[in-house]
Amino acid sequence: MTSKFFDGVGFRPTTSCGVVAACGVISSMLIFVVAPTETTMGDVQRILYLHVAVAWCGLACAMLMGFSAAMYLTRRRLEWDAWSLAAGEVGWLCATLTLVSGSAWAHEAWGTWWTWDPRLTSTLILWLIYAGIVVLRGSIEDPHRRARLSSVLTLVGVADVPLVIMATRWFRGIHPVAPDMDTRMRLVLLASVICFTVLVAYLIIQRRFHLALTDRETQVRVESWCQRNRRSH
Amino acid sequence: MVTLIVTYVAAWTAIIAYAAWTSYGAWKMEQHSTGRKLKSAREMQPATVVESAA
Repeated sequence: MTSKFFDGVGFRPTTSCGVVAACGVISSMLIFVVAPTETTMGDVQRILYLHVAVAWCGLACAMLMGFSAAMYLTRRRLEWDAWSLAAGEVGWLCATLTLVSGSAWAHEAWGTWWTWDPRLTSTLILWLIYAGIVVLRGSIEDPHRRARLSSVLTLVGVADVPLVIMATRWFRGIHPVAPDMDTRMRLVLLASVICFTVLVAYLIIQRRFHLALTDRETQVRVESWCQRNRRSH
Repeated sequence: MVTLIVTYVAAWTAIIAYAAWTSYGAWKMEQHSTGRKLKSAREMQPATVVESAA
């Protein structure tokens, strides 16, 4: 699984803190200071800037996962499986935040925490697929078998992505399709999406780096164990 | 406003927790590898001294 991509790269915790803090500050400023207050819903409408951004990131992670899974199945290299795992974990986090923020928004807008609207249901299915892949990975020890099975499940799960995107157009539901917003709101939404995309990309790379280091450490331990065994014999 | 703040704080807590977990994991692994390199360098030192003396 060790990737040459991370060879010679040192990990700096300060970079990690800096990226997360910068994205947090920029996002908070955009949502609480720059964005104007909506007339009908008031301040609660600001959840939208978080909700749309994490929803987009969740779908992007699913697509990255699908790409990595396809690459693993064609090349049979565990590096691709590690990318798939990193994207899957971050994607699961984003899907969870999408459901939580959407639920909070729905409670204020529709008067209910949950409804079986096509968009909500397809997003819940995506969340369950993410959860299933993470659980499946934890239950198989052989790395190639784990990678093969989770890649197949990922490719099946990725089929849900177009359904999530098109659910509001293909089926009748109450989820807004493309609500009317003024220019400032649109700009804040775009900036928020960019900010979260940068953060999520960084989190995926950081997790991938963590996996590469863990793998390198395991390899070293196995090698030293083998050497010790050879000496004792 | 309470719903907004609770949702926002919950979201960022989850993001920071995940970032901290991966960051700490990577940092710990690097510490292990640095410690091992130092240990092997220390073990190598006497042999080098003997070699140069010979």
